[in-house]
Amino acid sequence: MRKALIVKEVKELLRDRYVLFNIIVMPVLMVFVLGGLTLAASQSGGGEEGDEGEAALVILDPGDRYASILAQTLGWKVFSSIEEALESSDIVVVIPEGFGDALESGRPAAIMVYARIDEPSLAEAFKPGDAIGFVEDVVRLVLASERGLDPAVVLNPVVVDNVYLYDGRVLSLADLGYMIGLPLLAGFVAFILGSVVAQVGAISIALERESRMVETILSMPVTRLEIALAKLASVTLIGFIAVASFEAGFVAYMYMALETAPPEAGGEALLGQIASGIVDYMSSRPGALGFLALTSVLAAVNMAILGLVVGVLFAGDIRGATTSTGLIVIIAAAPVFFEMFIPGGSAPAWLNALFHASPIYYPFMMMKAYTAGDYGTTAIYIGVEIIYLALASAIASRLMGSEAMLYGARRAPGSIIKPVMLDVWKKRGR
Amino acid sequence: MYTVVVEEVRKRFGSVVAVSGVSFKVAGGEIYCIVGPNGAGKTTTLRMVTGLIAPDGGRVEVLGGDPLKMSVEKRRRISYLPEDAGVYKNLSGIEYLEFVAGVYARSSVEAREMVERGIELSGLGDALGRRASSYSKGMKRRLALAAALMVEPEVVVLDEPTAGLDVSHALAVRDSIISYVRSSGASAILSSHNMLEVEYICSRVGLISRGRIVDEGSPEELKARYEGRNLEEVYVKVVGGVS
Repeated sequence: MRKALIVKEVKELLRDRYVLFNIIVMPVLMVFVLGGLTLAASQSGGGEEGDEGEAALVILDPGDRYASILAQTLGWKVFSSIEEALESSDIVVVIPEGFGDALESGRPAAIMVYARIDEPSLAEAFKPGDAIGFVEDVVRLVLASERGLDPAVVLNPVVVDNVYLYDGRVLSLADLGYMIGLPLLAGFVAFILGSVVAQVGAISIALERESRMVETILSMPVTRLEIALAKLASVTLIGFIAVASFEAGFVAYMYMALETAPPEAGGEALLGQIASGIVDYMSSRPGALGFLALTSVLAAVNMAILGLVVGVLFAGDIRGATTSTGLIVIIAAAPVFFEMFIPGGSAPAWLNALFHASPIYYPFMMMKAYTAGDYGTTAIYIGVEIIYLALASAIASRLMGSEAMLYGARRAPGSIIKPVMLDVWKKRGR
Repeated sequence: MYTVVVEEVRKRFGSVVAVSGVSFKVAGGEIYCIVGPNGAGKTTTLRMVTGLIAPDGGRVEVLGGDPLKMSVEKRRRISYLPEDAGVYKNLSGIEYLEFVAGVYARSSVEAREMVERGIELSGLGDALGRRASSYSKGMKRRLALAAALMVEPEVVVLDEPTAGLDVSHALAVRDSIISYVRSSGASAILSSHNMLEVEYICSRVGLISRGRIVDEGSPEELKARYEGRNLEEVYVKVVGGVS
């Protein structure tokens, strides 16, 4: 591959204001937008899940006065062992020995909450949220009434230790945090990187056309494949600048989430736990970072190729490039967001099949399978993504070597429809 | 020895016949001009000569080979200046010349020599350090022509090389082409609407109309054959006036 081609591409792209906006400003904005969406989705998801079923109460000290008040007030089934309670309900609140003593001495009392979840997702992580809220409210009201206080001044009367039961395993909130957080991060990185490289790829074609350089470059002593590869390499390289911007924004956002996290299991707290989970997991397993990089590269290269194809076919100018790729990116990202926020298996079969057409769906699913320890499924997703890559490369290099590169934009829908409409309008005028 | 041979070449775009049997040959040291009205098939013919598009029928041979299947090494010996060619707007003039040299040259020494030639041919001086987005149309054209000639091609294809240029720029471009072909012995094929230009620089002229070469010869031969005082009169007699 010619160095001159790559140098030219990188200089030309990095000096374009649309590209600069896309790779530096956009990713940081996206972190805050996506972060807000995640928070909103997780909070709404928690409410819905919590309303679904009644929790069970396990009282380990039958003589505990406060535990008895809870049992009478909440009206949940009461058990003496956790195993029995889990047979009856998906959410089990355990009141340990010493609960009442802690409250009487003015200290926050510890409780354990077991939640059986169907899959590691934000909605499932919030499943015990309402049960915890009910326990806290009852304890707060009882303490306030006993001490003649306004309930609003009784802060954080209980400390919660969340335990999740998933696929025969016992997980802490931090464990669940990385299982949710890493696929989320992979999905976000794939989305940001994918949308940026797709746009930049299409813009690189549009810049050739706007500069009226298509014929010149196609007549030069370089193969079409070299032209395509140079574009791919430079676009992917530029995409990683966007990822750096995204990661800077992500770190800032997570730092803010950790700093502002209140102790109760609210949305910010969960984001904080996810952040802690990711940090702990990455520290203990450096391979996870490498896997994140692999999923990102695969997503980037696939979306760059998609951007080049869209550019060849539809991008007559930069505006055309951004408009056409914007639509493609929304379609490609939809499955990832669906999987992120809605529990799996809820989509109809035909929609699930459509999801698999998106090149940025796989990085998310790969990471989900990887963090869940399902390496077989991970390998299948990697294989499919590579096949996808090979097919997309073949299509892109064929397009680069065809007359579509010369005439594509002129045959784009807008360029075809306009003259036809004009012709019809003129005929009617006569 | 002909460097370019075009025989009965045809090309159609959908229902539109762009070229319907064009034939001509060009030898080394010759400047062959294709002259004809808009839509006559000049640009399509030149694109087929450079291998950008495939003919539907007929034969094109450049430097002894099919331009569509030409190796990268052979393609180094051909240069093309499209009709509306620009330059990369975010690169400076000198960066553009370096890019073209980087693609054509086999070594960094050769690339440096090419860039030196390009600087001289363009005549843009200090303006080469500025981004091309600030250039006038004439400056862009001179830079693009300099890039096309600095690589010292054996076959240079120029589509309307002076279109839109003012008198002094057009004169400089014409002189560059003549000087290059005379000094290198290269073959040049160019298209033009400007009959004065054609008479001034072309060794032979092919008059094209509705996708066919309707007559061919040196400017002097054509003037004698059609009893025209200049090529403009010949052009009107052969191709026809405004309908």
